[in-house]
Amino acid sequence: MKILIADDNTTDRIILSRVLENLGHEVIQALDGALAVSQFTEHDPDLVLLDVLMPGYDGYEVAEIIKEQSNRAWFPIIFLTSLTEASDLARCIDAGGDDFVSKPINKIIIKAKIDAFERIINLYRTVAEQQEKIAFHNEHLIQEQEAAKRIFNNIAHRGCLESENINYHLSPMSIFNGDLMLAAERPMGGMRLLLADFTGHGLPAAIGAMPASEIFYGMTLKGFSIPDLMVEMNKRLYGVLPRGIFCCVIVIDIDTRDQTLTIWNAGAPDSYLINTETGTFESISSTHLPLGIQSPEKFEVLCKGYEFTPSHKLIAVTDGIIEAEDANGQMFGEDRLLQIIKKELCEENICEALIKDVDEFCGRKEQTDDVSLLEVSLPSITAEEGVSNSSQGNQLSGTSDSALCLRLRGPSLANFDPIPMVMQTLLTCSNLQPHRARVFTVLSELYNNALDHGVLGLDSQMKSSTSGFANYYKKRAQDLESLEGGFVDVSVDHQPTETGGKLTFELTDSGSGFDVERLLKEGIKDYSGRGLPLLLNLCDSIDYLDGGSRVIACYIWSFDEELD
Amino acid sequence: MAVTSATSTDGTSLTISIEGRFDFSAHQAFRGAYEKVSPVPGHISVDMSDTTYLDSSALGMLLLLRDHSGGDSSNIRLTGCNEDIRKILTISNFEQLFEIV
Repeated sequence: MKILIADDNTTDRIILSRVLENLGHEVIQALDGALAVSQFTEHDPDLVLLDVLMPGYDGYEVAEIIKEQSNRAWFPIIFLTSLTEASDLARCIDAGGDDFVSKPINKIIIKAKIDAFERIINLYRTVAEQQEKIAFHNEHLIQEQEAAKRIFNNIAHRGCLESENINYHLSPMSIFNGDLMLAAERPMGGMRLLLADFTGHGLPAAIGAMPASEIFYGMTLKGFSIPDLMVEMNKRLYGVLPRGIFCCVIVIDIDTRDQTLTIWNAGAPDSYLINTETGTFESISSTHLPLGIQSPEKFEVLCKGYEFTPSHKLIAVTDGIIEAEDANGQMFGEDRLLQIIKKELCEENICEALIKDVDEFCGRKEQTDDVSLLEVSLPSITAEEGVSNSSQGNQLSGTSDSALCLRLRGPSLANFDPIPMVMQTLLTCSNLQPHRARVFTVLSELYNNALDHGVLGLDSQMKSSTSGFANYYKKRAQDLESLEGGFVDVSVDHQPTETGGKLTFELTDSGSGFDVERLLKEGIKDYSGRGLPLLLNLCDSIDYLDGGSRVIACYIWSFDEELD
Repeated sequence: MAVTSATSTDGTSLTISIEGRFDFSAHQAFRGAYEKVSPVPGHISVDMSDTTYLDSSALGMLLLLRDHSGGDSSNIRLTGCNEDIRKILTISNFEQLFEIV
């Protein structure tokens, strides 16, 4: 160690120097207080021995000056003193000293004290080094998280979450809380939303968000149904997530035209479907294990359907809001959540009111970091256009001159949705891109009619009430599962024309047909009834043949067409 | 939070009891309680009579236990669940994976 000795008594100073040098220390000597200060600045010693009584600055003053000057975290000062009064000794410590040794100096005692202080100095050094390392790692970690956050946000982007029919709360670092909120416009119009909550925190929770978002946006764009989407997401998460990490999810489809909402809740708290006009609301509870737990073979999705008019609203939350704690560890709870929803029922922005209440309840702002909240109402009809202006001149590409036929029988009707596949094939003709939403609507209406009303023989009148809606979907799922016979033939013919192209859809089903004339009249008055008014509006012609079990629809499109 | 465990004298059943909040802080102790028992007992009970609450990381721990004791062929009972705990288990549909009594 480097030790500074300040003592005006030459004999004492030299003897002590010899002792310490013999012990292997480097010694710097100072004859008085002023020299002690300058030597200290010059040599930056590890330990200082100070005589109390010196000319110029005395020991107390030197101690105060050098303690003030030094930028070291700590260094020991030991006073050398012939004073014996308790108050004098106490003053040594008050002045910033750490210990004192009585004169005349006893070699054994001074050695023991210096050894003891050396241990403390080493301890200080280790702590300082570790602190520096921790600070470095912490800094590094924050930078990595920031970079990771940017990557995650690009992949798990929020889609159309900023639409005017949506209010939401999601913390900026939510991705590291394992919360995910995604929204996309559906190609057939309307919107799809997903609120997901991965168990755990930090990177493990965030990693699952990447495949989940990619699957969500990819499959939604291609027009896959919620069950298909969830089966795929579960399959992927089951494959990548370690046991013990899973994903609670609420997925919602809103059909703007039919004014319906389809929802599936797997492991998340109740969602609330509110009617702001009547003040009534309905809880939509979890009906399934969260994603990533069940093996793909056993996984099954059964959605619920509801009426969703402009006076309806849906509120979905993750468990963060329910588990938010106040200063006493009391949880916010479901009852409180429900109370506020009831109270704020008619507010324009229930989300904001809820978050304010959670903040007040917790008494601390940062609590809402863990809270994800989604409030959604019916999107305006313009949101469904989804028309991209990818006009690429009049050069035809892809399947512009083609015919496609597909027959689905029995179990395949239950297991396979042909619409995304057909759409993908048709859209290789890039000129058709601006018509994507319309073509999608025509195809899915026609196919669903053939399957639901043709093969399954479901009565569309069932859908005319809210409870009927739920029953309709339930019965549809049950019937599909037990379906053995039956078929639907789908054929799409695409022919180029002078000004664009002509799509001819022909669908034949194994059902017994229907009274076309009667349904045409009734269907126009009502949103149910095979979506016939809509089909008539979109297509250039629709013809029902074979007593309603066969339909031929033509959709003629032109380049650079202005779509409303 | 305290985790205690007891194995029956013939080694065929294991009971793990959790006192207080069952959350991530119980992770080490909970894992230790079943990993130290070899071979894996055929019957496992998780006694939650003295458990006040469980969060989603506790659900994850239960899944790990299930996986450890044979996954789909495991035989795990969750006993003494209070109303709050039962609600959380129901939301997640864990009754499909565990016998809740």
